[in-house]
Amino acid sequence: MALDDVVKNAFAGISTDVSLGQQVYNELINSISDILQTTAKEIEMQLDPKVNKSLKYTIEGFSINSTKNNINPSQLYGEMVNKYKQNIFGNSTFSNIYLLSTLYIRALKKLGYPDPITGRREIVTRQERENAQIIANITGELLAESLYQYYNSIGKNVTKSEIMANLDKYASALYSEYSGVINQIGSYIISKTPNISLLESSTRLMSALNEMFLSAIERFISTMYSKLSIPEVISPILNALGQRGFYEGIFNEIARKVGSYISQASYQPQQEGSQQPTQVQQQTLMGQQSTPQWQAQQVQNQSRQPIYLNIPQPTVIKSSL
Amino acid sequence: MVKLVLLLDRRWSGGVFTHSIGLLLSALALKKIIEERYGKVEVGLYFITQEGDFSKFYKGDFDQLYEKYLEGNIKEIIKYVTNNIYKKPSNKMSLDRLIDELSRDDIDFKIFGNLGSFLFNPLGEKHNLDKILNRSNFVMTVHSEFAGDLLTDIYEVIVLNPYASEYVSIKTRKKIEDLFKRRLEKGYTDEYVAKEVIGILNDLLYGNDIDSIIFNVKKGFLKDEFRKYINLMSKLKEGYIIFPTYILYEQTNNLLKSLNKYGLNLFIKNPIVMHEPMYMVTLERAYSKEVSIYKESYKEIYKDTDKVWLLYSGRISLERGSNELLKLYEDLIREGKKLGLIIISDNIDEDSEFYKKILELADKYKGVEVHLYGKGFGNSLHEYTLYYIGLLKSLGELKNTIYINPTYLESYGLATIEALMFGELITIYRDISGLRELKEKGYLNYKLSFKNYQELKDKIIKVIEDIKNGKYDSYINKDQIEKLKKEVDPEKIAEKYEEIIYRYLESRSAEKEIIGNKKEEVLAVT
Repeated sequence: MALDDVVKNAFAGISTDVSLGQQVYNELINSISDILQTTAKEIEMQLDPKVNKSLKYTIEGFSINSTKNNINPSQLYGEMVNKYKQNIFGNSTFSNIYLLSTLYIRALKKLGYPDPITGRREIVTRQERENAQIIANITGELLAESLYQYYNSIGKNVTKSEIMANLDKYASALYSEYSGVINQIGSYIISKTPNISLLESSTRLMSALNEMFLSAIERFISTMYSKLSIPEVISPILNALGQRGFYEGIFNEIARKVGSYISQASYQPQQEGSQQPTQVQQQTLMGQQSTPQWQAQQVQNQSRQPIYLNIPQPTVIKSSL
Repeated sequence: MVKLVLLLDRRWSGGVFTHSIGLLLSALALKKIIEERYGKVEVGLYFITQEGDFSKFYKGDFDQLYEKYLEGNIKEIIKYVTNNIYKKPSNKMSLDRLIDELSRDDIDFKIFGNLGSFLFNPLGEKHNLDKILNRSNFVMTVHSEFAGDLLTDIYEVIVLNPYASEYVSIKTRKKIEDLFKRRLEKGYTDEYVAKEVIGILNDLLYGNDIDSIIFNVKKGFLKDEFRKYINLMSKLKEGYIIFPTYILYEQTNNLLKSLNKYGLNLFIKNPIVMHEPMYMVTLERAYSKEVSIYKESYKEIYKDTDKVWLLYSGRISLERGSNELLKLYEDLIREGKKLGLIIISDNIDEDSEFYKKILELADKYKGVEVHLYGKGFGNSLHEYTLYYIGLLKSLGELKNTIYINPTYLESYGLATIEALMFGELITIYRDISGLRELKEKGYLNYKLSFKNYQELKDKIIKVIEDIKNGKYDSYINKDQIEKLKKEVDPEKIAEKYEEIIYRYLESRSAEKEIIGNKKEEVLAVT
């Protein structure tokens, strides 16, 4: 599945949500869905190491360091992605709130506020500041609403205006989930190996993945705003998308793409050295040469599908004794 | 031209959810079969979904899916259903329109994926059923056992609810508890339990005492659903009703007998017992090369042959026997067995009690190694089924894994069949309803069923020893597994649907002929 599919499918889900109103469906959903699918294709291009050299070097560094440590890079990458997903998407009540808080704080930082954890300030261009203002408006509105609903659901008496008045404080507290996940992955790596190079290349890779994911969501919001400059209308659409697993779907696709490049990177030395076809190529070739027509059609379909070797890795609990 | 309609129920999780994909693949194969043999087929595809508290209805694009089917693009077909691609505003339809479309006179045959499609929405109202099921040109699949489901509902409201326990009479509580216990011990709902459940339900729904008031406050909606269920049961005198197992057929019959004691006349005219179509079979066939790559990757993880692995796949809950599974693992580890445990479940995470118990085991004993796959850990194998097939195949090839199904209630045993078919895994299972039937048919090894914990433990210890002594294959009957694979293959099941439809169409044309002859005779006399 490609990123534009994630967008398309998520929109297929929200386009039936009557709470958004028929007018919103007809006039907005279709046009926004189209423009976001185009954006998704553009983002996807940026995930190609041939285009994105920085990603290429990050992936190569990670693959080389893992292999040097006798660790299968695809396997380790799968484990890190699991850890990330577990922290970020594992809590169904809070995962959207974590994301909104992070987007809100990232936007505030671009508007001149210091990082709530490091205290650092960012220097950004005027264009970035303008975009940040849009994202802060939209995510701020949505975050306040989500927190209001959450507190109501647990019987806590608080008004939306009270939350709004202290929104940066709520967001700062919740922002730590995203900012802390890379450190958690780092400590996981250290528990496996003393190798500092592998630690650095692993956390670099996961930071890159985190950044790609968050910027993709920011870009989707900005694109929506460019099409329809009414934050009050974009907020419920984003909310409905979030409830349908849109964000996790986007992350899964980005992670899967990066995973496929890691697999390719770890297969390359063998291919170059021995001039032998890779495992994937071998199987596709065998299929095309020896199968009858009907099956050959299926093999062709299979070979069109991207083959990903970053299979889900188990979460392991082992005796420390 | 043959006109068919297919209604898929996407409101439930578990077996019904999975069955809807398998049935869609069967319907696509059915169109191909009929068109090759007889001529053009038109299929109207409809979906029921749950949005908030209400059922919503959508029309699907069967022709578009058929094109993909002919291209061999099975992933796209599955995605169409699992990713809710059919849920477009333009596909949404009102209840009235759905009823009109399902009631059209020009429809030759109707396929309903779930008998429960008519419950928890207005489709089960008598006037709607009279329109939709106006002739006997339909087939419906039964998935769950209604008396057992009712008993669970009553048990939750009256016995487990601490508030109710203060007010409900001890006699009623005791009776429900005994029935629940009897059902668990027997592994199925027998005639006595069905009769008693209907009696209790009748008292609870229509009585005026405190028990009834509490029940009606908590489960008042059941009154409506129960009425719809009886409406629906009265339609089983027509049409064809599919049951995945004989035991489910027998249990449904027991329920009808109990209801008939209240002056009803309910029976099933054309019962058919056959397996459910499993979409994973088609998927594996279409993408065997991709599966084989995943299989090799998982082999890397599980190739440590010193260890024997226990595999459990399914919900973590009391009635699924998952606590006994953990107790078994603890006991065997304590006794020094070299064992790993693989749990595949989408309903646990780091906050769940089950997870915490595993952590406690790892703290307490040496040699604990538990692998978890599930949504709660960000590594679900069900989000992309080919991974799951790859894992099962890898474990099967390594010949170091025992699949365990300790559940107390199982109407069919989908996950067990998957482990058997794709992994050819040694399968140890509780001797209950659906699983017992798989044993009696020879798919599950008769030596490996257990009735209680001690029996489970003894058998596991013996199998572990046998695996170490290279006797893994002695537990596997490959011929039977191949046979099972064919029986659950959506394309083979399509052939059976074709037989049912043509049996009906032939009987209808024979009927017409008799009526025609009679008319001629009458004319000749006059």
